[in-house]
Amino acid sequence: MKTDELIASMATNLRPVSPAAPAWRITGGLIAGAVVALAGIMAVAGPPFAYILATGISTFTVKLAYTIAMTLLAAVLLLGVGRPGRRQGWRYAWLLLPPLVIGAAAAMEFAGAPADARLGMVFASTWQTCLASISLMSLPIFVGLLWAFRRLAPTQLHLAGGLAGLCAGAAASVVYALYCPETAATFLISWYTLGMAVAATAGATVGARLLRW
Amino acid sequence: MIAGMAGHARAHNMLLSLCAERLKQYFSRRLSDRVADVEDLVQETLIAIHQRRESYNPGLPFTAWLHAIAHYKLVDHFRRSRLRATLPIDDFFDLAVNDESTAINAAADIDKLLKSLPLKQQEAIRLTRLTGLTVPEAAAATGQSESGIKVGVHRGLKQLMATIKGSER
Repeated sequence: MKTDELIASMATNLRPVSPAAPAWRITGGLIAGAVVALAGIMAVAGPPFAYILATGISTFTVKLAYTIAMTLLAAVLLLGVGRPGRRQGWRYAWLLLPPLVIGAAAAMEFAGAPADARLGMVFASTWQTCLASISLMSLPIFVGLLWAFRRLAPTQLHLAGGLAGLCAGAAASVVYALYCPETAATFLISWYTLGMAVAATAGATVGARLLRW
Repeated sequence: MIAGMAGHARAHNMLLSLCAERLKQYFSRRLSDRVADVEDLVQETLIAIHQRRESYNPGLPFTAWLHAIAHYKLVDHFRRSRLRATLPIDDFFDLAVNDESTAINAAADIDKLLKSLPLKQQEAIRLTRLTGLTVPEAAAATGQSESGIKVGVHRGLKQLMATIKGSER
């Protein structure tokens, strides 16, 4: 086909697009994926919030704050990656802030604890459940984000995949926080962060293939 | 672009036509040995621009967006055709916004370097290498002999080479 004809055919029946659409798409993919993840964990583990009274509201709030902060930061950076034309450079440093805050709290907690209780704080009894749940639940969210990228134009595919994975992992840990029976900040910084890192690594690995356009 | 995103067909058509021209230049400069691929690549990139026009952020320069997409498509093309091409870094800026600065800087550098040479060599290099005259033309313009021009160019360039190497050390 001639280029002129191609252009004419693309300009007819033109559908208007909003500049805000990419942000809505990512939000939509994120929420849809999280709903699927929540439905999945409800099918396995019953209704959420079972441990809130046991762990206390403040612990629960810290978990939510950490995971939601990571989700939002990753989502904003992800949006930037999908809209080429500007390097984000130092903005990625924001991702370090929440782990640093929680890490500092965990370090104080760890230092204040008696030596024989420390290992118990790190591993507690549910670290395997935590890691497995976050990794598994990040899958539907990752799919939702991939869908959101269908109209975006990522030019660095590994980076985009990694950020999508991180965002999915962080959102999955928001869902998991509704179920988590642990109280220690040490646990939070170890296993939640590792769960997100697993999802991010997986995302970066498959991203280059799945996001190509 | 913004009007096109809002749904104005004529604006969109015009934008795509302009992009097509620019992309054609961009790709043909980098794929000089495979002219047949250029048209395909232009069309493929136009389709991407059209389908992914949402991804343009109206707050950013349009050329940067267009260039990022064109570059992505070019790299993708090289990957598919399993060809490794080395692209000089300077080429990456020619669709971007402020482009003249490098050329102006280069011109100023050359000027400075040439001034360090004797006048006859300066003239010889300027006329034959920068203005693009032939040796006989340059000889006629300056009143030097033809062999004088050749020798001047040769010695002058040798001297410049030595200067540049020296300043790098």
